[in-house]
Amino acid sequence: MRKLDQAGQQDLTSCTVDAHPPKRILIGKVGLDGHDRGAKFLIRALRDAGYEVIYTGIRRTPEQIVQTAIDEDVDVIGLSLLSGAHNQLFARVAELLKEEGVEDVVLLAGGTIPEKDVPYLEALGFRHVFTPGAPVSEILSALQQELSSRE
Amino acid sequence: MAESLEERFEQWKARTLEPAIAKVPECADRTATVSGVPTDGLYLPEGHGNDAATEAYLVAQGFPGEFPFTRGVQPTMYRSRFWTMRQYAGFGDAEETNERYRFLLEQGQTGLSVAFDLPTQIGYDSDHALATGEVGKVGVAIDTLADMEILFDSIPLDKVSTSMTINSPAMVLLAMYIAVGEKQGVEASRLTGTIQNDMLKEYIARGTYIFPPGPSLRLTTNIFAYAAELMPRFNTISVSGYHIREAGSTAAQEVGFTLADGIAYIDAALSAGLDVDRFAPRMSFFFGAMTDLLEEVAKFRAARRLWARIVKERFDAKDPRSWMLRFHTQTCGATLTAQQVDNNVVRVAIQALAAVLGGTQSLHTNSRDEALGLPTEEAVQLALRTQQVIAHESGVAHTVDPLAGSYCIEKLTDQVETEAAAYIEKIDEMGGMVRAIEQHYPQNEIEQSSYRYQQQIERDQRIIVGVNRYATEVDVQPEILTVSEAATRRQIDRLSEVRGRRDSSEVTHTLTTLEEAARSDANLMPLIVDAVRAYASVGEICDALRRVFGEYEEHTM
Amino acid sequence: MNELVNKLRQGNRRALARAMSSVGATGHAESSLEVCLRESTGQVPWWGFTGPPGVGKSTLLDALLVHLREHGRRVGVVAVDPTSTRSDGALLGDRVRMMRHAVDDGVFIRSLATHGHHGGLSDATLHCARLLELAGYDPVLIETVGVGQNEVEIRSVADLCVVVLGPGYGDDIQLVKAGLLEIADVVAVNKCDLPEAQRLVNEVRQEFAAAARDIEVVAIEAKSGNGVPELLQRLFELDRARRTETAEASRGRRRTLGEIRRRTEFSCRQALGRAMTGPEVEQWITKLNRGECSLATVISRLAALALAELQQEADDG
Repeated sequence: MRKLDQAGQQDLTSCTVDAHPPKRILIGKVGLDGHDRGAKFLIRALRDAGYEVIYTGIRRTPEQIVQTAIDEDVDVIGLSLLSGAHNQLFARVAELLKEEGVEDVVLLAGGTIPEKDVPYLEALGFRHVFTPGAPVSEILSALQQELSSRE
Repeated sequence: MAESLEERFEQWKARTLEPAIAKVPECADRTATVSGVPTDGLYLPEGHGNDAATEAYLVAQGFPGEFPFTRGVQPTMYRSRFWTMRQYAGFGDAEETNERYRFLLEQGQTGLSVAFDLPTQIGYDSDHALATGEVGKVGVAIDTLADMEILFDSIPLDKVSTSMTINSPAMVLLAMYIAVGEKQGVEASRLTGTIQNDMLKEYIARGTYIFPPGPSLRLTTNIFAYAAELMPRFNTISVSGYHIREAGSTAAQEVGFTLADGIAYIDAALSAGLDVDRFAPRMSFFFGAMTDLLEEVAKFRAARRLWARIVKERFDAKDPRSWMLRFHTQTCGATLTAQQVDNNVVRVAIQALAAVLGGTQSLHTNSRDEALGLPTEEAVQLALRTQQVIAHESGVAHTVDPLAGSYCIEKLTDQVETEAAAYIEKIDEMGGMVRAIEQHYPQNEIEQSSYRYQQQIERDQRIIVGVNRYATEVDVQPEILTVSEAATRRQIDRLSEVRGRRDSSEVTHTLTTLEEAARSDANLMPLIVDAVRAYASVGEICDALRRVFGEYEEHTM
Repeated sequence: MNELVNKLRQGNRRALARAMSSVGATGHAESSLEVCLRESTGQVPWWGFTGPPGVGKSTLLDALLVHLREHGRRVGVVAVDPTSTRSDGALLGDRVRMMRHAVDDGVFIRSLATHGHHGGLSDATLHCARLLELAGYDPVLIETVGVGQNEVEIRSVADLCVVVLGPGYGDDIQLVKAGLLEIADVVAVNKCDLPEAQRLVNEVRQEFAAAARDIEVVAIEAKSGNGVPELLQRLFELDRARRTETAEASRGRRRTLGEIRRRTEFSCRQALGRAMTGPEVEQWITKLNRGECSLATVISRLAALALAELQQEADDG
């Protein structure tokens, strides 16, 4: 099949062939806090960066997050939590993923997470931990790195 | 010929100022600058004495303590009495939090502000599956009256005023406060404080809702009616713009949406048959303070003027106390950064100054470490000291509304008011705030503002010091407070111990009665007080109401 | 491949999810899974839901799932959202309103983006619905955004079409509505707690009466669930009627026909795009502007070029 990227294509049709379909990301809010300002900004930024984003809404259980991630066959799970319950709830998500035999998903964590909890979360399999004030550009480049290293 | 400003000033002194001073005299140490230059409590425009200018001044600003309250709700403001320094606090279980409260009161704090944990705020007991990991995290865990008794142990409720940030289960926690008062021998009529009780902003911005809007508004107005009879000194609502601002709104949106919420509460109370002048004086407000000092000062002034006009003109309230927008301020938590945390001390100082220059009635200053977790005692003390320095050393407390008459401040005040009024008008056109929320109007507007703001930061069009400029390689993080697992276990143990020793038939009886009443249009407050006295838990009481009202689910992108 | 099919038939959700990602990912080449899917499905009618953005389709699906589960049905959902016009990304926001079904073993929800298929359906929609049918989900619900010209697409995939309308969706509602009503088997008017909704119900009923079409208009309130059982009863009736044998044959035929048409259109457009970049085009523009040839001539030349492209591609494949 010939490549389709010659100039002059785009004005006629926006159809593209899914040789490289967009990566799919689940952004999940576990726990009970309703602070979704960061999550909502991030999902838009991820869309604009070319990802397909599934957002769970607030107050989700680890079970809901994991089942959704499996059904949607996502490449990345990003969890956000601002209440301080991350050690328990993020651990539960990691544990459930393991139980389900899901090992090829990139795990990211975000929220009010003190530095001293970072090693624990990393040991659970979270590749990056982002705290308040972290610029989206930082998240995007970390993500790109993670995904390209897996290809 | 119209009266001159001087004549009006003399009238104000006789009518408003002198009776106020007779009640609470001005403090002698607030009448001169540090150099010894005398300062007046109130400054007025000078040198443009024509009638039109005087009239324009009186309409837009007037005198403090008088309609439209642009310059403040009291005639002397902080010259007589500082704002209430009220640090929002709570973590772990009731014992630990009680200890923190006693520390804060010893440090010169003048009121309490209870932070509840998320399970309490959403009506789950500490042993509920959804409470996993959340018990005692963002506030204190309260399950039954037994916890509340410990929380206020050795704190006399007739001397300390208490603000409680609780919304969906507001009735339950208020009932517990009443019951603790009874045990201390303090009648409900002598209790002072504020209950947040603002459900609409939960749907708009904060997310700790339980029930759908209709039943929620009923609970709100039940509290209005109950307190109008029995708790005349208690603020029955704190209509909150803070969380709207924290969700990313502009200043004008914060004012517009908050006052539109206020209008919806008045409408609901009026349709429940209450008289506006019976409950409006007990309505209070809650705003955030950002670092943009001048706009924030203007915002507070605009909010006061706009609300006074709404209550007087739209609702025809006669009591001047109904017209007053009294408010609590918290410095905006979303401005805190995890990078270079000491910068947060400076941000908070500027934000607190904005609140004071804007005439706040009470103030919470955030601790520098709150972007990382719960504040340590040391950090909270520094935050409180920030307020104390502004109060005692800065001199801004000597004069009422000291920035009035600044070209910039007056123009900004007008602009915020105009823009906020336009939002209110738009919401009126949509059929009121409940309808607007259903159509996601305020949510979408806030989200767009929030997105714009974040984009500016991402593109370096807006500088956040230590984040997108002047960043440092190594960031030293301070110690932060951790809620002990022991506190969680203690909490769950206490709950099961209370369940074991209470009279379970009394619990069942009060809960059944409550559920029945919820199906009618009775005021539920007295029944919840009964259930609380029987040591029914927050979760059990909310479950009884869930069975009748159902639960609210709303998720938007 | 057989192993994957066996696994997903046995109810392995991960296998099903994985199959959804893999099917159709190879572009034009047919995978054996696609062939297998075409052969082994067609028994279950698919229910399509379309309507303007924000009208409450996902909330309606959420409520329908509750009732369908009460009837003991295992339900598959394909929810399609538009791909951003600025990036290849998309916000797949439908399932956020159905999260309470996330851990229900009897519900499988898959979110898809439209990719290049402007607001309509991608091939992936068809593949995913077939996979859900193969995995034993019945019925299969397909939610799409109904805006502009693409309403007809859902008609080619879904066996019965529910058009969801609601009061207050801008001035262009009339246009959208007109197109949507053409394809409706049943119309659900949402937000019937609002007085304007009743007016809309009457208006739509009048339009159907004027066109002498016997289409039911059901007033619902998706959020509270009011009217949803009535809507479901109507859907069950229509579903039963479509499960007759002749319907089954025509169902498979229609799906394949739709597939052929979409694929052909897609390929033709691609080929035409390539033809348009050829060196001859500049000459034709000049000739056309000078009046030296007719537009019809240019069109037929271009079409011939495109056809040659297609032929070449088929030979290469």
